[in-house]
Amino acid sequence: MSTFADVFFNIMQPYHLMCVAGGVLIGILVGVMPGLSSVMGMSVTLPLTLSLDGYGGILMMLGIFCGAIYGGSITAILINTPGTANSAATCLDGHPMVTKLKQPGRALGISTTASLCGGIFSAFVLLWTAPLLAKVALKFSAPEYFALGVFGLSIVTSVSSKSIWKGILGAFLGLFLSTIGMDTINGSYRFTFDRIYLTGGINFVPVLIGLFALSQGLISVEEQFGKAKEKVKGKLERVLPTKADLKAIWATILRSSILGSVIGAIPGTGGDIASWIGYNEAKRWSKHPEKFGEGVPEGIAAPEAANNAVCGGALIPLLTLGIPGDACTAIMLGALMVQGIVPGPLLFVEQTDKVYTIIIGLFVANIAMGILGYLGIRVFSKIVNVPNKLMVPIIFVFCFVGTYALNNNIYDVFLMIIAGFIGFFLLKLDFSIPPIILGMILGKTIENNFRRSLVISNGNPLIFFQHPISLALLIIAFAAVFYPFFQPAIKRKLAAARRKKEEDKEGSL
Amino acid sequence: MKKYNIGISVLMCILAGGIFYFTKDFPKYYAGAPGSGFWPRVIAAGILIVSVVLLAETFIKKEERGEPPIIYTSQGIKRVYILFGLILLFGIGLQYLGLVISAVLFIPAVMFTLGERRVIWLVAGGIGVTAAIYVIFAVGLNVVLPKAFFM
Repeated sequence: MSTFADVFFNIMQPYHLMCVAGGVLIGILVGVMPGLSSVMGMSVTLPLTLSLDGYGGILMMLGIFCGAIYGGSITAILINTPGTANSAATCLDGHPMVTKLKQPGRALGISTTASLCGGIFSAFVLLWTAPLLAKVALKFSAPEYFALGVFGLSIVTSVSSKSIWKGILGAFLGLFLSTIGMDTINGSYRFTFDRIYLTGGINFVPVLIGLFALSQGLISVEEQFGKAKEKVKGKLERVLPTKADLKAIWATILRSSILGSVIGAIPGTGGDIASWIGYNEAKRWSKHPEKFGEGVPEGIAAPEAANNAVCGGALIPLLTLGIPGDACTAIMLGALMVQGIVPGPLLFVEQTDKVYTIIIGLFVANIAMGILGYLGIRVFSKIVNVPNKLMVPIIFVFCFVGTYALNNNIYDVFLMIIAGFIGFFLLKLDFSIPPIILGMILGKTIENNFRRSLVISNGNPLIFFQHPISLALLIIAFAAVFYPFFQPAIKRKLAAARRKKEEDKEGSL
Repeated sequence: MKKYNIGISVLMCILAGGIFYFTKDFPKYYAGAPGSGFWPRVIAAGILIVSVVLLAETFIKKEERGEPPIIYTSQGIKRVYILFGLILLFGIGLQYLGLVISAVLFIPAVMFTLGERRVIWLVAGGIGVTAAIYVIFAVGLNVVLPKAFFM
């Protein structure tokens, strides 16, 4: 308890509060700009957070994480263009409230309230569940860690939106990149080609910045060529929700917060899935589902509470098992590792202060998001008007400065450029970027624990199937990888069974 | 997409072959466990299998009609090519001229490529953004930025 209190008072220091607020601000700005994803914002600013003292870096990353998800809703509501994929469902009722009901301030107020509540709820879920899960995970040994790594990697099929095979190829590429450098078991060098730069292995941060930020910047230049940018016009009236609105949306917020927290905790899902499910459930439970799509408050609150609740949920597997559930948490994992924090069950025993910093930091980040959201919504709504001609070079320079700041090494910069160029073509060819990063991050864990397990078992590979947790994780991983391949057939079969049942029913009548 | 998928599969098969080739002399065992070449070979086998499956899928599946993934002659991609060059020059410039001089040249060059023609905006963008980055990183956060060779 004293650690909790110590950390709490430490975070309440003005410097740390400024770091959180700064992170939230950056996150909202990134989220507001269509074409800039939360992943891009987090990867560009990752090196910046490393230069902050103490807990500042972690707190800033948490701020960006929360702010970016919320920021996406502003443009979704005002110009029907979601700033991030997480806010696509918010367009359905958010924009009609602006165009049909002429109440943009009300729509933004509801979205801010729902985001704030969803985020706070998920922080509570994280606070209660993470230590329990960590207790179970403390019993893990090498085979379990190997299985856990494989399980973490198995989400590649669900994050590979366009081509599953290319997603798996990307994961293998990431795994291969993780083998470059010195082998930590026997000290021999692999694929270094006598280059000193490669002996320490490939640093994943420059690759991450290149693949997520530089390549995305180039993609947006190409895709938005010749397209006019929609601008936000007009003034916003009151942005605080009324009592009537709060009464109308509280149940929706609670339901969506639970859904978002649970969905966030499942690796391979994310804010976009949570927001659509949240919206669908709100419509299903509503007394007036026919009004959805015309600007009902529940239609805005549901996706926003759900996507912000994902933040806390996604941190559960990350902190307790060291498994990132999506691209954002993969970056978060990278940021924590660079800060010397290795997520996993031991973190809860050896670095309790760091765990509490992240959990309390999430509370503070959400509160800061709410305050900044209510106070600055008028300004944020104008950010979208910043021309791409200015935004793109700023992003590019940030990529360079951030990469160089990491180790003050110009070779990192060239690695980032190469990753950016390759990433551009990979994205054009329907590759998904998160599997590559997941492979790079989890590669060492998987390989080292695989070899350690075999040392323990004198080379007997059955060790992975003799440990129940390891076996269970491997079965789940196997199912997760192959489920998307069988999904269409399962759906067809279910639909046929349903049709047959209906026909039988009609026949009996 | 068909020809691109074939190209990707072939490239990946070459990569897998390269991994097998470069790990041929690695020790097979070390302290009772697989040696340092084992895991890369597992990965290479995985790459090989998935590449073959992708290749087979490409030939079996009917290609949907639509725009090719990369239109090499489109105006948008031509801009990206120019940006590739500018980014590369900026990287080299960082090494020799440092951040400040390189950024003051790079930012207006990118803005110009993206269609900005007003000289005042180009100059203001270059100097303003560079100054802001310098203040935030070097002054505010004490981050070491690349310096010119003569400094």
